[in-house]
Amino acid sequence: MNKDELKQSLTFETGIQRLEQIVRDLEQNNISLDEALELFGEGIRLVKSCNIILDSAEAKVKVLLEDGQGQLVTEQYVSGEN
Amino acid sequence: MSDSILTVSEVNQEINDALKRNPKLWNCWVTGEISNFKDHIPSGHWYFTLKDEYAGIKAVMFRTRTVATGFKPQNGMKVLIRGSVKLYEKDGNIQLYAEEIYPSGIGALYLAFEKLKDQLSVEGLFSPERKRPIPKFPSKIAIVTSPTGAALRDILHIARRRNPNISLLIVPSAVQGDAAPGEIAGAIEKANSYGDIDLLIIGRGGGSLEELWAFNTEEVARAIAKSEVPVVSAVGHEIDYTIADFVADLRAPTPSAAAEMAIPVLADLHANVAYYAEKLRTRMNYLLEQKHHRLQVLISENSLVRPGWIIEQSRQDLDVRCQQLQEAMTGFVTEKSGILKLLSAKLDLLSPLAVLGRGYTLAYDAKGCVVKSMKQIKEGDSLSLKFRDGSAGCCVNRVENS
Repeated sequence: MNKDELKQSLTFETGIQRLEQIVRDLEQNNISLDEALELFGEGIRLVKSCNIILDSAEAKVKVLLEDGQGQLVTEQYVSGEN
Repeated sequence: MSDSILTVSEVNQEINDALKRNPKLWNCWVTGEISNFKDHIPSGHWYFTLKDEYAGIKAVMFRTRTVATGFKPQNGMKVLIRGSVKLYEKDGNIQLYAEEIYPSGIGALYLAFEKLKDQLSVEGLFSPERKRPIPKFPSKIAIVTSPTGAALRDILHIARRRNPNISLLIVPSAVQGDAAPGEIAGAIEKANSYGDIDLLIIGRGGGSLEELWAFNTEEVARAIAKSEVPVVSAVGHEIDYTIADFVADLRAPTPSAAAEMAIPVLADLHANVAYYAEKLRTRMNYLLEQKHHRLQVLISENSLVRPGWIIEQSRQDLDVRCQQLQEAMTGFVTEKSGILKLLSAKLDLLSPLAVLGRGYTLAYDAKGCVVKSMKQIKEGDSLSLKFRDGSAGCCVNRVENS
Protein backbone atom coordinates (compact mmCIF):
# COMPACT_ATOMS: atom_id res chain seq x y z
CA MET A 1 0.00 0.00 0.00
CA ASN A 2 1.55 3.29 -0.98
CA LYS A 3 1.10 6.48 0.96
CA ASP A 4 -1.65 7.96 -1.19
CA GLU A 5 -3.73 4.84 -1.04
CA LEU A 6 -3.19 4.70 2.68
CA LYS A 7 -4.36 8.25 3.14
CA GLN A 8 -7.52 7.59 1.24
CA SER A 9 -8.48 4.38 2.93
CA LEU A 10 -7.48 5.09 6.50
CA THR A 11 -7.32 8.07 8.81
CA PHE A 12 -5.25 8.13 11.94
CA GLU A 13 -8.41 8.38 14.00
CA THR A 14 -10.10 5.33 12.45
CA GLY A 15 -6.78 3.48 12.65
CA ILE A 16 -6.50 4.11 16.38
CA GLN A 17 -10.15 3.22 16.91
CA ARG A 18 -9.67 -0.09 15.08
CA LEU A 19 -6.54 -0.79 17.13
CA GLU A 20 -8.49 -0.22 20.33
CA GLN A 21 -11.10 -2.70 19.12
CA ILE A 22 -8.49 -5.27 18.13
CA VAL A 23 -6.84 -5.10 21.54
CA ARG A 24 -10.26 -5.47 23.17
CA ASP A 25 -11.01 -8.51 20.98
CA LEU A 26 -7.64 -10.06 21.78
CA GLU A 27 -8.46 -9.70 25.45
CA GLN A 28 -11.31 -12.17 25.07
CA ASN A 29 -9.96 -15.33 26.64
CA ASN A 30 -11.88 -17.74 24.49
CA ILE A 31 -10.53 -16.35 21.23
CA SER A 32 -9.22 -18.99 18.85
CA LEU A 33 -5.58 -19.01 17.83
CA ASP A 34 -6.49 -18.44 14.18
CA GLU A 35 -8.62 -15.41 15.03
CA ALA A 36 -5.96 -14.07 17.37
CA LEU A 37 -3.23 -14.41 14.76
CA GLU A 38 -5.40 -12.71 12.16
CA LEU A 39 -6.22 -9.80 14.50
CA PHE A 40 -2.60 -9.51 15.54
CA GLY A 41 -1.55 -9.33 11.91
CA GLU A 42 -4.13 -6.65 11.18
CA GLY A 43 -3.08 -4.73 14.30
CA ILE A 44 0.58 -4.75 13.37
CA ARG A 45 -0.30 -3.53 9.86
CA LEU A 46 -2.41 -0.73 11.42
CA VAL A 47 0.43 0.30 13.71
CA LYS A 48 2.66 0.59 10.68
CA SER A 49 0.02 2.50 8.73
CA CYS A 50 -0.67 4.93 11.59
CA ASN A 51 3.01 5.70 11.91
CA ILE A 52 3.21 6.27 8.15
CA ILE A 53 0.23 8.64 8.34
CA LEU A 54 1.89 10.63 11.13
CA ASP A 55 5.23 10.88 9.38
CA SER A 56 3.98 11.43 5.88
CA ALA A 57 1.35 14.11 6.63
CA GLU A 58 1.94 17.09 4.42
CA ALA A 59 3.15 19.77 6.77
CA LYS A 60 1.33 22.42 4.82
CA VAL A 61 -0.31 25.67 5.69
CA LYS A 62 -2.63 26.78 2.91
CA VAL A 63 -5.11 29.56 2.41
CA LEU A 64 -8.62 28.88 1.11
CA LEU A 65 -9.71 31.48 -1.42
CA GLU A 66 -12.31 32.01 -4.08
CA ASP A 67 -11.10 32.47 -7.63
CA GLY A 68 -12.74 34.79 -10.16
CA GLN A 69 -15.45 32.23 -10.99
CA GLY A 70 -16.36 31.70 -7.36
CA GLN A 71 -14.50 28.37 -7.25
CA LEU A 72 -12.69 27.48 -4.03
CA VAL A 73 -8.94 27.22 -4.49
CA THR A 74 -6.05 26.87 -2.08
CA GLU A 75 -2.78 28.76 -2.10
CA GLN A 76 0.38 28.22 -0.15
CA TYR A 77 0.33 30.44 2.92
CA VAL A 78 3.05 33.04 3.05
CA SER A 79 3.54 34.37 6.54
CA GLY A 80 3.46 38.15 6.78
CA GLU A 81 6.54 37.96 8.99
CA ASN A 82 8.71 36.39 6.31
CA MET B 1 -67.85 72.95 41.54
CA SER B 2 -66.40 71.88 44.82
CA ASP B 3 -66.20 68.34 43.48
CA SER B 4 -63.60 69.45 40.98
CA ILE B 5 -61.32 70.99 43.58
CA LEU B 6 -58.48 68.60 44.18
CA THR B 7 -55.97 68.48 46.96
CA VAL B 8 -52.29 68.38 46.10
CA SER B 9 -52.19 64.80 47.26
CA GLU B 10 -55.05 63.97 44.92
CA VAL B 11 -53.28 65.65 42.02
CA ASN B 12 -50.14 63.71 42.67
CA GLN B 13 -52.14 60.52 43.09
CA GLU B 14 -53.73 61.12 39.68
CA ILE B 15 -50.36 61.79 38.10
CA ASN B 16 -48.92 58.64 39.62
CA ASP B 17 -51.87 56.57 38.45
CA ALA B 18 -51.51 58.00 34.96
CA LEU B 19 -47.79 57.13 34.97
CA LYS B 20 -48.44 53.60 36.17
CA ARG B 21 -51.04 53.03 33.47
CA ASN B 22 -48.50 53.81 30.77
CA PRO B 23 -46.51 50.63 30.05
CA LYS B 24 -43.91 52.64 28.18
CA LEU B 25 -42.79 54.20 31.42
CA TRP B 26 -42.71 50.99 33.38
CA ASN B 27 -39.60 48.83 33.29
CA CYS B 28 -38.28 50.77 30.33
CA TRP B 29 -34.87 51.54 28.87
CA VAL B 30 -33.82 55.18 28.82
CA THR B 31 -30.66 56.60 27.34
CA GLY B 32 -29.18 59.96 28.23
CA GLU B 33 -26.26 61.86 29.72
CA ILE B 34 -25.56 62.13 33.42
CA SER B 35 -25.41 65.50 35.18
CA ASN B 36 -25.61 66.68 38.79
CA PHE B 37 -24.38 63.28 39.91
CA LYS B 38 -24.44 62.89 43.70
CA ASP B 39 -23.29 59.81 45.56
CA HIS B 40 -25.24 60.41 48.75
CA ILE B 41 -23.40 59.69 51.96
CA PRO B 42 -24.13 57.76 54.09
CA SER B 43 -27.15 56.22 52.34
CA GLY B 44 -25.13 55.22 49.23
CA HIS B 45 -28.00 56.10 46.90
CA TRP B 46 -27.14 57.82 43.63
CA TYR B 47 -29.01 60.97 42.62
CA PHE B 48 -28.51 62.56 39.23
CA THR B 49 -30.26 64.18 36.32
CA LEU B 50 -30.49 62.29 33.05
CA LYS B 51 -30.62 64.67 30.11
CA ASP B 52 -30.34 64.91 26.40
CA GLU B 53 -30.04 67.91 24.13
CA TYR B 54 -33.51 69.21 24.92
CA ALA B 55 -34.73 67.82 28.22
CA GLY B 56 -33.89 66.39 31.60
CA ILE B 57 -35.36 64.08 34.20
CA LYS B 58 -34.38 63.47 37.77
CA ALA B 59 -33.13 59.97 38.45
CA VAL B 60 -32.34 57.94 41.52
CA MET B 61 -30.63 54.60 41.94
CA PHE B 62 -30.82 53.01 45.36
CA ARG B 63 -27.86 51.48 47.05
CA THR B 64 -29.28 47.97 46.73
CA ARG B 65 -28.99 48.40 42.94
CA THR B 66 -25.81 50.48 42.70
CA VAL B 67 -23.70 47.76 44.32
CA ALA B 68 -24.37 45.50 41.33
CA THR B 69 -23.13 48.10 38.88
CA GLY B 70 -19.64 47.56 37.61
CA PHE B 71 -18.73 51.24 37.28
CA LYS B 72 -19.30 54.66 38.85
CA PRO B 73 -21.20 57.12 36.70
CA GLN B 74 -19.72 60.53 36.14
CA ASN B 75 -21.16 63.76 34.93
CA GLY B 76 -21.22 63.92 31.13
CA MET B 77 -21.22 60.15 30.79
CA LYS B 78 -23.69 58.67 28.35
CA VAL B 79 -25.61 55.83 29.91
CA LEU B 80 -28.37 53.38 29.29
CA ILE B 81 -30.74 52.83 32.20
CA ARG B 82 -33.41 50.31 32.88
CA GLY B 83 -36.02 51.49 35.35
CA SER B 84 -39.49 52.89 35.89
CA VAL B 85 -40.81 56.45 35.85
CA LYS B 86 -42.69 57.33 39.02
CA LEU B 87 -43.76 60.39 40.88
CA TYR B 88 -42.04 61.28 44.13
CA GLU B 89 -45.21 62.56 45.74
CA LYS B 90 -43.53 64.48 48.56
CA ASP B 91 -42.20 67.20 46.27
CA GLY B 92 -44.10 66.40 43.08
CA ASN B 93 -41.03 65.43 41.14
CA ILE B 94 -41.29 62.83 38.43
CA GLN B 95 -38.22 60.64 38.69
CA LEU B 96 -36.61 57.77 36.90
CA TYR B 97 -36.00 54.99 39.42
CA ALA B 98 -33.03 53.15 37.94
CA GLU B 99 -32.64 49.39 38.33
CA GLU B 100 -29.67 48.85 35.99
CA ILE B 101 -27.22 51.27 34.47
CA TYR B 102 -24.66 50.71 31.71
CA PRO B 103 -22.29 53.00 29.91
CA SER B 104 -24.05 53.74 26.66
CA GLY B 105 -22.95 51.86 23.54
CA ILE B 106 -21.77 48.91 25.57
CA GLY B 107 -25.12 48.93 27.29
CA ALA B 108 -26.92 48.66 24.00
CA LEU B 109 -24.60 45.87 22.90
CA TYR B 110 -25.10 44.09 26.17
CA LEU B 111 -28.84 44.27 25.71
CA ALA B 112 -28.58 42.88 22.20
CA PHE B 113 -26.29 40.14 23.50
CA GLU B 114 -28.72 39.09 26.20
CA LYS B 115 -31.64 39.21 23.83
CA LEU B 116 -29.95 37.07 21.18
CA LYS B 117 -28.60 34.69 23.80
CA ASP B 118 -32.10 34.13 25.18
CA GLN B 119 -33.56 33.70 21.73
CA LEU B 120 -30.98 31.16 20.55
CA SER B 121 -31.08 29.37 23.87
CA VAL B 122 -34.85 28.93 23.53
CA GLU B 123 -34.27 27.61 20.02
CA GLY B 124 -31.94 25.03 21.53
CA LEU B 125 -28.82 26.14 19.69
CA PHE B 126 -26.72 25.85 22.86
CA SER B 127 -28.02 22.47 23.95
CA PRO B 128 -25.35 19.85 24.70
CA GLU B 129 -27.07 17.31 22.44
CA ARG B 130 -26.32 19.49 19.43
CA LYS B 131 -22.59 19.53 20.11
CA ARG B 132 -20.59 17.60 17.56
CA PRO B 133 -17.76 15.53 19.01
CA ILE B 134 -14.31 17.07 18.66
CA PRO B 135 -12.02 14.64 16.81
CA LYS B 136 -9.19 13.44 19.01
CA PHE B 137 -6.74 13.22 16.15
CA PRO B 138 -7.63 15.82 13.52
CA SER B 139 -5.30 15.69 10.55
CA LYS B 140 -6.62 18.78 8.80
CA ILE B 141 -7.75 21.88 10.65
CA ALA B 142 -9.25 25.00 9.10
CA ILE B 143 -8.91 28.35 10.83
CA VAL B 144 -11.42 31.12 10.20
CA THR B 145 -9.72 34.31 11.26
CA SER B 146 -7.95 37.39 10.01
CA PRO B 147 -4.89 36.40 7.97
CA THR B 148 -2.95 39.23 9.57
CA GLY B 149 -4.19 38.90 13.15
CA ALA B 150 -2.41 37.85 16.30
CA ALA B 151 -4.76 34.88 16.64
CA LEU B 152 -3.46 33.26 13.46
CA ARG B 153 0.14 33.92 14.44
CA ASP B 154 -0.43 32.29 17.83
CA ILE B 155 -2.23 29.28 16.38
CA LEU B 156 0.44 28.67 13.69
CA HIS B 157 3.19 28.99 16.27
CA ILE B 158 1.61 26.47 18.62
CA ALA B 159 0.61 24.12 15.80
CA ARG B 160 4.19 23.99 14.54
CA ARG B 161 5.48 23.30 18.03
CA ARG B 162 2.98 20.54 18.79
CA ASN B 163 2.80 18.78 15.46
CA PRO B 164 5.00 20.01 12.62
CA ASN B 165 3.21 17.59 10.26
CA ILE B 166 -0.29 18.90 10.78
CA SER B 167 -2.16 20.36 7.85
CA LEU B 168 -3.72 23.77 8.34
CA LEU B 169 -6.09 25.65 6.08
CA ILE B 170 -6.55 29.35 6.68
CA VAL B 171 -9.94 30.71 5.67
CA PRO B 172 -9.43 34.47 5.71
CA SER B 173 -12.13 36.68 7.12
CA ALA B 174 -12.50 40.09 8.66
CA VAL B 175 -13.05 39.64 12.39
CA GLN B 176 -14.21 43.15 13.28
CA GLY B 177 -16.21 45.87 11.62
CA ASP B 178 -19.51 45.81 9.80
CA ALA B 179 -18.42 43.26 7.19
CA ALA B 180 -17.10 40.80 9.76
CA PRO B 181 -20.28 38.83 10.61
CA GLY B 182 -21.02 38.14 6.94
CA GLU B 183 -17.41 37.25 6.19
CA ILE B 184 -17.07 34.93 9.18
CA ALA B 185 -20.32 33.15 8.31
CA GLY B 186 -19.23 32.93 4.66
CA ALA B 187 -15.83 31.52 5.66
CA ILE B 188 -17.47 28.85 7.81
CA GLU B 189 -19.63 27.88 4.82
CA LYS B 190 -16.62 27.87 2.49
CA ALA B 191 -14.65 25.62 4.81
CA ASN B 192 -17.60 23.23 4.94
CA SER B 193 -18.11 23.10 1.20
CA TYR B 194 -14.36 22.69 0.58
CA GLY B 195 -14.54 19.51 2.65
CA ASP B 196 -11.68 17.29 3.81
CA ILE B 197 -11.53 19.20 7.09
CA ASP B 198 -11.71 17.55 10.51
CA LEU B 199 -12.03 20.62 12.67
CA LEU B 200 -12.77 24.32 12.37
CA ILE B 201 -11.30 26.94 14.68
CA ILE B 202 -12.95 30.34 14.48
CA GLY B 203 -11.63 33.23 16.44
CA ARG B 204 -9.62 36.35 16.93
CA GLY B 205 -7.36 37.91 19.51
CA GLY B 206 -8.45 40.08 22.38
CA GLY B 207 -10.22 43.38 21.88
CA SER B 208 -12.96 45.61 23.18
CA LEU B 209 -16.53 44.41 23.30
CA GLU B 210 -17.21 46.30 20.09
CA GLU B 211 -14.23 44.67 18.40
CA LEU B 212 -15.38 41.21 19.38
CA TRP B 213 -18.92 42.01 18.38
CA ALA B 214 -19.07 40.02 15.16
CA PHE B 215 -18.91 36.86 17.29
CA ASN B 216 -22.07 37.97 19.09
CA THR B 217 -24.16 38.23 15.93
CA GLU B 218 -26.97 35.94 14.93
CA GLU B 219 -25.42 35.46 11.49
CA VAL B 220 -22.24 33.96 12.90
CA ALA B 221 -24.13 31.97 15.51
CA ARG B 222 -26.31 30.35 12.85
CA ALA B 223 -23.35 29.64 10.58
CA ILE B 224 -21.62 27.82 13.46
CA ALA B 225 -24.78 25.87 14.24
CA LYS B 226 -25.11 24.88 10.58
CA SER B 227 -21.50 23.76 10.18
CA GLU B 228 -21.06 20.04 9.65
CA VAL B 229 -17.43 20.25 10.69
CA PRO B 230 -17.05 20.55 14.48
CA VAL B 231 -16.29 24.12 15.54
CA VAL B 232 -13.97 25.37 18.28
CA SER B 233 -14.53 29.02 19.19
CA ALA B 234 -11.52 31.01 20.27
CA VAL B 235 -12.51 34.61 20.76
CA GLY B 236 -10.51 37.18 22.70
CA HIS B 237 -9.28 36.50 26.18
CA GLU B 238 -10.35 34.03 28.79
CA ILE B 239 -12.86 36.45 30.33
CA ASP B 240 -14.61 37.17 27.04
CA TYR B 241 -17.73 35.11 26.44
CA THR B 242 -19.46 35.46 23.10
CA ILE B 243 -22.56 33.95 21.55
CA ALA B 244 -20.18 32.05 19.27
CA ASP B 245 -18.76 30.36 22.38
CA PHE B 246 -22.20 29.11 23.37
CA VAL B 247 -23.04 27.74 19.93
CA ALA B 248 -19.62 26.23 19.21
CA ASP B 249 -18.96 22.59 19.95
CA LEU B 250 -16.06 23.58 22.16
CA ARG B 251 -15.04 26.93 23.64
CA ALA B 252 -11.37 27.68 23.88
CA PRO B 253 -10.53 30.58 26.17
CA THR B 254 -8.01 31.99 23.65
CA PRO B 255 -6.79 31.19 20.12
CA SER B 256 -3.57 29.75 21.58
CA ALA B 257 -5.61 27.54 23.85
CA ALA B 258 -7.68 26.41 20.86
CA ALA B 259 -4.52 25.22 19.14
CA GLU B 260 -3.39 23.47 22.32
CA MET B 261 -6.76 21.76 22.71
CA ALA B 262 -7.23 20.80 19.07
CA ILE B 263 -3.78 19.73 17.94
CA PRO B 264 -2.31 16.64 19.54
CA VAL B 265 1.46 16.60 20.10
CA LEU B 266 3.13 14.46 17.41
CA ALA B 267 5.24 12.62 19.96
CA ASP B 268 2.09 11.77 21.91
CA LEU B 269 0.51 10.37 18.75
CA HIS B 270 3.55 8.20 18.12
CA ALA B 271 3.45 7.15 21.76
CA ASN B 272 -0.19 6.29 21.33
CA VAL B 273 0.58 4.04 18.36
CA ALA B 274 3.51 2.52 20.24
CA TYR B 275 1.21 1.83 23.18
CA TYR B 276 -1.11 -0.22 20.98
CA ALA B 277 1.81 -1.97 19.29
CA GLU B 278 3.09 -2.99 22.73
CA LYS B 279 -0.38 -4.00 23.84
CA LEU B 280 -0.78 -6.15 20.73
CA ARG B 281 2.54 -7.89 21.33
CA THR B 282 2.07 -8.57 25.02
CA ARG B 283 -1.45 -9.78 24.43
CA MET B 284 -0.41 -12.03 21.55
CA ASN B 285 2.47 -13.42 23.61
CA TYR B 286 0.13 -14.13 26.44
CA LEU B 287 -2.34 -15.86 24.13
CA LEU B 288 0.44 -17.95 22.59
CA GLU B 289 1.70 -18.94 26.03
CA GLN B 290 -1.79 -19.78 27.10
CA LYS B 291 -2.40 -21.96 24.03
CA HIS B 292 1.02 -23.55 24.45
CA HIS B 293 0.25 -24.32 28.06
CA ARG B 294 -3.01 -25.97 27.08
CA LEU B 295 -1.17 -27.99 24.51
CA GLN B 296 1.33 -29.09 27.17
CA VAL B 297 -1.48 -30.18 29.41
CA LEU B 298 -3.00 -32.21 26.61
CA ILE B 299 0.34 -33.72 25.67
CA SER B 300 1.02 -34.75 29.23
CA GLU B 301 -2.12 -36.82 29.27
CA ASN B 302 -1.38 -40.63 28.93
CA SER B 303 -3.23 -41.23 25.70
CA LEU B 304 -0.88 -38.92 23.84
CA VAL B 305 2.31 -39.75 25.70
CA ARG B 306 1.92 -43.58 25.13
CA PRO B 307 -0.26 -44.22 22.12
CA GLY B 308 -0.06 -48.04 22.89
CA TRP B 309 -1.51 -47.45 26.29
CA ILE B 310 -5.07 -47.89 25.14
CA ILE B 311 -4.19 -51.20 23.48
CA GLU B 312 -2.36 -52.36 26.57
CA GLN B 313 -5.27 -51.41 28.64
CA SER B 314 -7.60 -53.27 26.31
CA ARG B 315 -5.38 -56.29 26.39
CA GLN B 316 -5.41 -56.29 30.16
CA ASP B 317 -9.10 -55.93 30.06
CA LEU B 318 -9.33 -58.89 27.78
CA ASP B 319 -7.19 -60.97 30.15
CA VAL B 320 -9.42 -60.16 33.04
CA ARG B 321 -12.51 -61.07 31.08
CA CYS B 322 -10.90 -64.26 29.89
CA GLN B 323 -10.08 -65.29 33.42
CA GLN B 324 -13.55 -64.44 34.55
CA LEU B 325 -14.88 -66.61 31.75
CA GLN B 326 -12.64 -69.50 32.71
CA GLU B 327 -13.65 -69.25 36.32
CA ALA B 328 -17.26 -69.12 35.40
CA MET B 329 -16.89 -72.10 33.11
CA THR B 330 -15.03 -74.10 35.70
CA GLY B 331 -17.69 -73.34 38.23
CA PHE B 332 -20.33 -74.40 35.79
CA VAL B 333 -18.62 -77.67 35.03
CA THR B 334 -17.92 -78.40 38.68
CA GLU B 335 -21.49 -77.75 39.54
CA LYS B 336 -22.76 -80.01 36.77
CA SER B 337 -20.43 -82.89 37.71
CA GLY B 338 -21.60 -82.62 41.30
CA ILE B 339 -25.14 -83.01 40.12
CA LEU B 340 -24.08 -85.96 37.98
CA LYS B 341 -22.48 -87.74 40.97
CA LEU B 342 -25.53 -87.20 43.01
CA LEU B 343 -27.79 -88.47 40.30
CA SER B 344 -25.68 -91.56 39.61
CA ALA B 345 -25.61 -92.31 43.33
CA LYS B 346 -29.36 -92.14 43.33
CA LEU B 347 -29.40 -94.31 40.23
CA ASP B 348 -27.10 -96.81 41.94
CA LEU B 349 -29.53 -97.12 44.77
CA LEU B 350 -32.25 -98.02 42.35
CA SER B 351 -30.13 -100.51 40.36
CA PRO B 352 -30.92 -104.12 40.98
CA LEU B 353 -27.21 -104.78 40.86
CA ALA B 354 -26.76 -102.61 43.92
CA VAL B 355 -28.91 -105.10 45.82
CA LEU B 356 -26.16 -107.63 45.20
CA GLY B 357 -23.77 -105.31 47.07
CA ARG B 358 -25.90 -105.67 50.12
CA GLY B 359 -25.54 -109.53 50.03
CA TYR B 360 -28.43 -110.51 47.81
CA THR B 361 -28.03 -112.73 44.69
CA LEU B 362 -29.95 -112.91 41.47
CA ALA B 363 -30.92 -116.25 39.96
CA TYR B 364 -31.10 -116.74 36.23
CA ASP B 365 -32.51 -119.82 34.52
CA ALA B 366 -30.84 -121.56 31.67
CA LYS B 367 -32.43 -119.11 29.24
CA GLY B 368 -30.92 -116.24 31.20
CA CYS B 369 -34.25 -115.04 32.63
CA VAL B 370 -34.34 -113.81 36.20
CA VAL B 371 -36.02 -116.35 38.35
CA LYS B 372 -38.67 -114.49 40.30
CA SER B 373 -40.79 -117.45 41.39
CA MET B 374 -40.30 -121.09 42.43
CA LYS B 375 -42.85 -121.99 39.79
CA GLN B 376 -40.32 -121.23 37.12
CA ILE B 377 -38.00 -124.01 38.27
CA LYS B 378 -38.08 -127.70 39.08
CA GLU B 379 -35.62 -130.08 40.63
CA GLY B 380 -32.65 -130.72 38.47
CA ASP B 381 -32.71 -127.29 36.67
CA SER B 382 -29.42 -125.51 36.30
CA LEU B 383 -29.39 -121.97 37.56
CA SER B 384 -26.83 -119.26 37.41
CA LEU B 385 -26.47 -117.22 40.59
CA LYS B 386 -25.19 -113.72 40.14
CA PHE B 387 -23.22 -112.16 42.97
CA ARG B 388 -21.86 -108.72 43.42
CA ASP B 389 -18.51 -109.80 42.19
CA GLY B 390 -19.18 -112.81 40.04
CA SER B 391 -21.51 -115.73 39.34
CA ALA B 392 -21.79 -119.45 40.06
CA GLY B 393 -23.54 -122.36 38.30
CA CYS B 394 -25.91 -124.27 40.57
CA CYS B 395 -28.18 -127.27 40.39
CA VAL B 396 -31.66 -127.21 41.98
CA ASN B 397 -31.97 -130.02 44.52
CA ARG B 398 -35.37 -129.30 45.84
CA VAL B 399 -38.33 -126.99 45.19
CA GLU B 400 -40.57 -126.04 48.04
CA ASN B 401 -43.52 -123.78 48.45
CA SER B 402 -42.92 -121.28 51.13
